[in-house]
Amino acid sequence: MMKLPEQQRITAAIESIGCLHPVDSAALAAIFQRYAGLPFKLDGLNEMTTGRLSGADLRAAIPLLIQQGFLFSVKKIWGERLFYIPFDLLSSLQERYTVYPIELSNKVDIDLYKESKRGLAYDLFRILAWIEFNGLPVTVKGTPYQKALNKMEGQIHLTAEDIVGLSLYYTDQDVYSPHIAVVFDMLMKFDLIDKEQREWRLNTVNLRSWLELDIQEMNSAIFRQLLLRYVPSDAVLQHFVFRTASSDLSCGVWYGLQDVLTSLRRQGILKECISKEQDLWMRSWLTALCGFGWLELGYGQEEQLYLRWLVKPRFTKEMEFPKQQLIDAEALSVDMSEINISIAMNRHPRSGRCHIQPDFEILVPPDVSFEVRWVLEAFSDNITMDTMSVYQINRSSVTLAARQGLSSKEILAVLHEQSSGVPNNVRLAIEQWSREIEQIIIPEKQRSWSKDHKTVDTTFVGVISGVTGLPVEQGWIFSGRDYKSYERDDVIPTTTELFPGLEDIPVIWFKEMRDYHVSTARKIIAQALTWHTKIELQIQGETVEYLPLTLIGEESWKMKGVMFTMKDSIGVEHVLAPGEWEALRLIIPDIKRKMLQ
Amino acid sequence: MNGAGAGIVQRDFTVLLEKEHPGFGEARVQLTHFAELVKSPASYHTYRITPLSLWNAAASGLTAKEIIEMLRFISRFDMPAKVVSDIEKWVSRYGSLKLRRPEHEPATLWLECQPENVELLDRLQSESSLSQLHLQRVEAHRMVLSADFRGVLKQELARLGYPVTDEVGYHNGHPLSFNMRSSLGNGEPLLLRPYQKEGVISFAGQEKNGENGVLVLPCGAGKTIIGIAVMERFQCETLILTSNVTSVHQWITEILEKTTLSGEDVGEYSGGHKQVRPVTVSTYQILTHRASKGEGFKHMGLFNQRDWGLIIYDEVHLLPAPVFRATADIQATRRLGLTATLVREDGCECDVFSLIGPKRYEVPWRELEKTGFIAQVECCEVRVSMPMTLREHYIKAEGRAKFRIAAENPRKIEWLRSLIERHSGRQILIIGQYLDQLRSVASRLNVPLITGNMPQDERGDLFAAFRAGDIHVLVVSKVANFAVDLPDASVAIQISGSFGSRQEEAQRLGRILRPKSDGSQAYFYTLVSEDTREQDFAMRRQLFLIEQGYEYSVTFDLEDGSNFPIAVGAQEGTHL
Repeated sequence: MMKLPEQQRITAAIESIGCLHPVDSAALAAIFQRYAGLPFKLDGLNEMTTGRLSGADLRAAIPLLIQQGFLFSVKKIWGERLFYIPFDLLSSLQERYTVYPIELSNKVDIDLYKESKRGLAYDLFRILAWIEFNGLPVTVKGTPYQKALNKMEGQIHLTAEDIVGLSLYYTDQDVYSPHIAVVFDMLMKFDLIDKEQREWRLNTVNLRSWLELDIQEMNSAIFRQLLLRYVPSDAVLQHFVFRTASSDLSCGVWYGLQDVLTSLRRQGILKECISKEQDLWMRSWLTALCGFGWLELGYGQEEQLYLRWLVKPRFTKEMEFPKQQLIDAEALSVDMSEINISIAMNRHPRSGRCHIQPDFEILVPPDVSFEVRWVLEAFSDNITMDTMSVYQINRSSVTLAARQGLSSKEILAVLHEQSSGVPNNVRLAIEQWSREIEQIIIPEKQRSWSKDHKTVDTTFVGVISGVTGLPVEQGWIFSGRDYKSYERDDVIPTTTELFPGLEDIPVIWFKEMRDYHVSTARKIIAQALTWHTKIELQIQGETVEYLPLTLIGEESWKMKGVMFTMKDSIGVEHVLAPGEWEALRLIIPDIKRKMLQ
Repeated sequence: MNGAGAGIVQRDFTVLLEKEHPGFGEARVQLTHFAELVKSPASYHTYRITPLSLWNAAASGLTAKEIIEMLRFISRFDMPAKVVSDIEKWVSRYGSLKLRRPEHEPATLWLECQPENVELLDRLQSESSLSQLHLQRVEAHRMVLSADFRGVLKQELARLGYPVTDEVGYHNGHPLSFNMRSSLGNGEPLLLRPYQKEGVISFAGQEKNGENGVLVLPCGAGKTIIGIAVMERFQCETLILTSNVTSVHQWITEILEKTTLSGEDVGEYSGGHKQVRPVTVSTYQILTHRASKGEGFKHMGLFNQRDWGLIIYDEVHLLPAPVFRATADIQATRRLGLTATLVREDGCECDVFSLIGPKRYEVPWRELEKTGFIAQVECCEVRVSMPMTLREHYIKAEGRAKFRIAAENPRKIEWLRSLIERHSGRQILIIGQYLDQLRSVASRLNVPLITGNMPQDERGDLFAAFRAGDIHVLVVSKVANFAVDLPDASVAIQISGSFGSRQEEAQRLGRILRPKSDGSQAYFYTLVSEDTREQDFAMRRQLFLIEQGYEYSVTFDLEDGSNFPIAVGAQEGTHL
């Protein structure tokens, strides 16, 4: 199987983590710990010095990390540059750096506090079906009518209570309640709605692709959007959402919230205490996950909050392409989207079958595809959407279908094809109703997604399949910072960019260990301070590394810093005056050598 | 995550049970302990778990843990956590409140909770709907009330979601000594069927210490004999309430036939007779009769005219609201409800639970059919074409007139002839809604007709002649919908009905459900005018029986309607 190039790059990066030089690996770990997926400036790295790992070491790792796909970058038009760990790497890094497992809760006396709802994917489906049948005209302000919004709220299980704690920001808050805003945010993000001047219409092309996804794929696409855009710009919170969803938390098992936090604390990500705001947001996030249909919350006897995954969405959905097809497509310049369709069609070669009962109910087991459900929506009323969804065929539903140009023949063809059998009385009733209806009704419109639509929007594939995931990608709802004025720029920074003024200093300063005049030595140390880099000192014949922290005094100066012997990784603070070392050298990490590796 | 269970537990507390699954039989047995069967059509049967069904289960001794374990066994997928937690909550409520009588204070009752659960009484104290009962908190875990409010309190608390275990006990009523006969007049032994025995024990208990409750059995399963057996267990004066006078007569006939009680012991309290005897059979209609709306129910006093030790409510799903109110005042008397379905059109199932009692026993319809205790029935809808002139008339008509034209389609008479010939030798009931149509049919087929206008005695004579086999075909109006015992009727043909009444359809089917003496199956036909509104209503009427697992075949006229020889020539046992 082949993957799209960007996906390949990220996959390659994940595979190569173990091959990184220890310093680069430490730099990546430190960046991940400090920023998670948040963008940072080069200067920001200087504050992250830990042990032997200096700001210069961190900066020097940047080119390699970009080259290897561990970091992406963006820049503003006037040049300010930000770096970040791409979204698709975050979960892998979380897994890699998770050394402290979360304790399993053996408690059996956990009282359910918040149950998992039907699920956002099903809510989206219901709204799509509602729009299909009712249309969605908009006001002169360009928003749907309040009456329509109220009716749509009645279609979904997600409530404002489920997500209110996330404090989501979006425009027109006076028009959209938070839960309907989330639904529309997703529909827009997945390009399932085309906003026209007087009416919002379903994007039939993307709708088809969306319905071809299975529930896991839909969940994955939704979860990805939530992680990208609903988590505030707070590394602690980012770590929290990834930690709670990491693979060592199994479905169906209760985990204490405190135990999750302890794991992050031991990992060094959390300080002793989290702020009240962070605590509130974490709880709200878990509550929202219940509303989205994935998680349950409970309280133990000691009033501790416990979480339990029922369905755990994958972080990314790798849309894989059969190698031969991809090559053929490239060679023949075939539209990739055509291939996507055939792949999508083949991904669910055997979906489940419906059961039609003689009392006119259609039972739809969980393994029945959304494509089939969408067709059922055309001629039957949805009664329940649950593990087993229930539809009902009746005269009015068949009348509505006739208005959309669906004949009894077509209805029965679908039912025969997708079910374990059509009871005779149901067949006769449909035929009878259609006979009566077809005499008086002229089809008003063609249902969305007829067989003619075949072209898949590649943007849609991108959004769904997880090949992008930049922080600059925003939607209607966005909880992070505004990065609209940035654009992608993965040019590898030069040594001069990382160490400004490098070309202006004598090469001998970092090439050779030697004794310098006191005034020159002060300049070298001042340069080390500027670059947050270490120096090598020869003291009583032994070579040690020393990270200057400050210079004290002018004429008769001293320096304060941390000294590392060969075996010592933590270092000891020492104040040294000229004369206490025999020779010194400025250490510039060898960027080029690493890059060649 | 995903097991291989026979059922799917939904968030709305329904359980869908796959009929073809190997575990279906076992799962169904388990579910009947704590869930109500809602419907049982072809592929999946639907059960519903409700607070009431859980309290009924708890009353039978099941714990929440046992119920959840059974459900886990049945469930193909993970159970919704809310379902689990709600089962725990509802079951825990059963028994959390007890109603007791303090010694030497017959006019007072104690409402008690567990000492560790006193906040429950705090909650009840703040309930405005209980304020009129003047509950007084005398201890942290105890409230005192007047014994007069025993029924009302139980009713109200059940509505609030707190069932009360009534430990006040029952008075035995005036004793009445009698036995069930060992054999019938024709020499046949009188034996209870196994499920009838189970029903009696589930109500009366092994030690005759039973309390109150409801037994749910299909039409034709012999509810009357269960009632009589319960009466024999308690040996006390008994009031029996049923839905109509014909049923009153049947109860009396059966009591006299199957027990050692004499005619002097058994009375009829109806519009025609006002006999109040040790065993009295009456109707809901007479109890709720009043001359004008402002007047009281003067016959309601029947509840107190003798010292009844047992009251039997036949067809409890039809129990009218005023009788509920009267029943609230006689909670010291044992009460037995009998019905084919606990589902009430008025949604008062909760009142049945609190005032009559929990469900003690239920046997599914199709289960009895399988074991031969009720007849197997073949249901068939016959779509009868309409003469062209009548169709034009039908098209121009509106509303109810349209329906009536379709219902009275004269071509139905040809089908009747054909079906009577097809089933010649059998006992055939022709049932209809419109008297003109029924008269016409009776006259053209030259068979007797029973309507509501006919005096009870004459009706009785005709039913007796039919039972004896002297009359093979009987045309009946809706008077025969309920509780008419015609054991050998094996063919019912509906020629018209009251719109979409599902209950009527089930009751009419019930007329032919008695197992036939020759073991043969029964036939249930519905004649419906093709391509008319009658067809829609027929579809709606059939739903209840479809939900019970019955299936209807459909037969058509030929296009020009000149096809009767085909049907006439068809033999019984072949499809039309």
